[in-house]
Amino acid sequence: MAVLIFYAFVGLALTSAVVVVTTRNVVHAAFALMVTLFSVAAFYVFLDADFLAVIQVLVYVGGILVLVLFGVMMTSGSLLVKLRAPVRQLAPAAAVGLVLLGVLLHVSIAESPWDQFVLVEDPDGSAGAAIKAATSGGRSLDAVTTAPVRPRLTIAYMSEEAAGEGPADRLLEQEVGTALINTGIRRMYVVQSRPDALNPTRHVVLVEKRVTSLVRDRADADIGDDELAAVREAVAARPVDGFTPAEVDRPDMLLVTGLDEAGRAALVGEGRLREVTDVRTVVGLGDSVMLGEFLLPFEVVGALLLVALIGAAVVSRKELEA
Amino acid sequence: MITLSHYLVVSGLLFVFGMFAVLTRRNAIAILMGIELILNSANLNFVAFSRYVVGGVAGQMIAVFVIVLAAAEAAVALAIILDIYQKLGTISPDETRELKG
Amino acid sequence: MTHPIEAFASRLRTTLAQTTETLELGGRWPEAIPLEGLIAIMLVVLAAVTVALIAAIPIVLVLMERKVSAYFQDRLGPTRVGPWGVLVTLADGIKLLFKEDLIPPQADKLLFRLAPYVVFGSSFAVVAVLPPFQSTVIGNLQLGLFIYLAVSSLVVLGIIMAGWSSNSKYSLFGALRGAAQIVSYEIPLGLSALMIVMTAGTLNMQHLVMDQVGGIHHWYMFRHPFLFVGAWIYFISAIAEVNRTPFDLPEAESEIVAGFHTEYSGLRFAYFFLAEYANVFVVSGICVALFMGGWSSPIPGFHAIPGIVWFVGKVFVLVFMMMWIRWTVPRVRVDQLMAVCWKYLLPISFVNIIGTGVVVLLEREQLGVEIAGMFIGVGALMWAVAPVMLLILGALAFSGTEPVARRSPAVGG
Repeated sequence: MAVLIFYAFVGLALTSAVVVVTTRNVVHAAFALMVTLFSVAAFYVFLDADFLAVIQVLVYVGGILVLVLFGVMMTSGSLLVKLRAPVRQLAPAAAVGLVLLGVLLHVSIAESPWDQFVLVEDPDGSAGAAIKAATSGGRSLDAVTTAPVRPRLTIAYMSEEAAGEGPADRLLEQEVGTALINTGIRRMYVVQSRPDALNPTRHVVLVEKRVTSLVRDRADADIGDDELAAVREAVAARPVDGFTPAEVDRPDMLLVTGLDEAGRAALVGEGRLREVTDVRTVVGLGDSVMLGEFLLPFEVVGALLLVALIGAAVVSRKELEA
Repeated sequence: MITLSHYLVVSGLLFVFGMFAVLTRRNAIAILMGIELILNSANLNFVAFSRYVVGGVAGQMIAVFVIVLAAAEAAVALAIILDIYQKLGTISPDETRELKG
Repeated sequence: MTHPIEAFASRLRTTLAQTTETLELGGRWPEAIPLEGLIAIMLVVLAAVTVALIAAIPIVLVLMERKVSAYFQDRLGPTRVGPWGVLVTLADGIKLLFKEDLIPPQADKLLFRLAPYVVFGSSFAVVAVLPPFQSTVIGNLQLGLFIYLAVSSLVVLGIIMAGWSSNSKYSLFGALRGAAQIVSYEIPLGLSALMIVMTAGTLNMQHLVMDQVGGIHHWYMFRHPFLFVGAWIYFISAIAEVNRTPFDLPEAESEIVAGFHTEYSGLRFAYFFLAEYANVFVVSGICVALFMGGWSSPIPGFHAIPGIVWFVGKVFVLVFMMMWIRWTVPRVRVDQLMAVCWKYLLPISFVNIIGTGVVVLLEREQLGVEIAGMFIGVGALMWAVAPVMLLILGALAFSGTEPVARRSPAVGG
């Protein structure tokens, strides 16, 4: 069903792009560009980049396209609706275009090493270990990457009293797992923390889960020493492919379930646990991306936009009659 | 099942169409539209790779910055086009032969 | 885990199969319907029902406009069509349906036909982000406010399309003026909405409303003076966004015939008409949700009246104010329009943003009582001064003391 809608948008985008390129009426070309940009925004939604999709509609369709339309109308010379713009040099351009298209399609389809992409932890970066780890257990793979992948886990928190297999647990695991897909991880390790008679605060069980669904939550926190020790023990007790105890030292996520209120309050109070932040919300985006990694590009682009604005206003003003 | 290759094919086609527009059109604003198509295809590539291969939001952030830069570029390009129109009365790139502006 | 829509569709399919089996309408044939097809049909039906429900809003607003304008002008308005003129919108609709469908000669036929749908569609699409209900949401979009800003900027394209394709001077001028006005006033609108986002930390409309629950003193509008001024700036920009007097140059009846929809008649004009009133409702709805507490009751602890009644009531208060302003204030000139936006509203919005940032920082850091006290003192002063400031600025902006020194083509220069 989603696939049908995807193909519909593909058809829409390509058809309107052809109209942009070939029509002689420049106003029609501008409105066809609107349809193309809108379809690209739909593609962004399919790629789970909905914030980017909204930015595309707001800036490209609602801003740049209006600017282009104003430009078209101001340079039309008259109020004629039909604006003819001749098209020349079709043959060489078509030849170059076809060659380029052939190259791009070949790389995208025939030679694509990305379709069966498998993230394999490969701590020492050697191909042999990666392939061995990926094909162990009787699995066969079409392609294996040998890029070293840092196992990224971040701590998350779940406020369930009875940790286990209840629907709330599954829901949270699904949500967290979805977050992990976005960060490229395909397997997550759930440390379930249940009190038992021997250890009234914690009994660690390391469970490997498949990551299958799709949402966007992220969490960041530092991890306490006892959590680290617990995970190290659990991993040492039951080794899982590609996840060595050494990597536990800098884990990114740990789903610690079964903490009671006191335990949670203690960890939050010590600043070791933070609530799951949704990257789509303003706080999540701002904290995790905009003011974090991408602050410098943000500022530079802002300054550049200001300069462009002033420059455009200066360049396009009419000479005042003396 | 929509794989990465689907998005790469679409963005490749958009790129080629945009390039064709840049090479053949004789209206400066139509050339600008071709450039916008090229930029969009590159953005789509970035976001597709970010979703299927790399993970994280870096690809989306690059796309955001590309969109902003495209806006700045369109503004300046249109200002220049308007200026040329006021001086020469036409915006066909064939007619803009003099360097003196 | 299956998607909720798929789960619902499969349950629906099973229930239908059981019904046909018990009613002996041919066995359990609904089970053979592919799930995807059923979902597609469900969504189409849901969309049609939703559009029909939303279309009821302009119907009510048209009657309200007629009656309100009549009473402001000391007359009675429609009285003969139905009791108290209730059926006047129906009469209008029937009249428009029967009008001749004219397309002006040498008009761009494709764009001429397409423009009403673009305006209509984008005006109606924004209803999805409104949070009218307390218990459920139409669509709990995490980026609700942002989506509103994006989709409402699509109306500009429809207006330009309409104006250009009509092949008429008046239409083109109206369309370009309208586009310039909407695009300009989007900035103070967006900045005022940004203040709310800074305060709340979320773009989700339902969370914004839930943050204001608890009484009228919790409403964002009354939290601190920057937000109060911001609410009024938002309201003024919203009036400009929907092209209502005093900002209705694009469709000024006495100046350029009917602006960008001059050449439209009959059903196509009905689309523009409906879209305008839907836009009025939506923009007031967003204002209520952002600044005036949405569906929350202003009296803390009073839960007898359901949230939707509060929401619709508040929206109608704002719509009434828009109509009141329409029939009281004369239209502004185009250079006054641009001056108000860029020279008055925009700097005030910047100051508001900085002020809101300071307030959010102070609240988050919980700085000492001295600073808070100082701020409260300043705040009290601003509370007293803000309405006076707004009045003075309004008088200055609209009084024409701004000399029209440069010749501009819009005023015949």
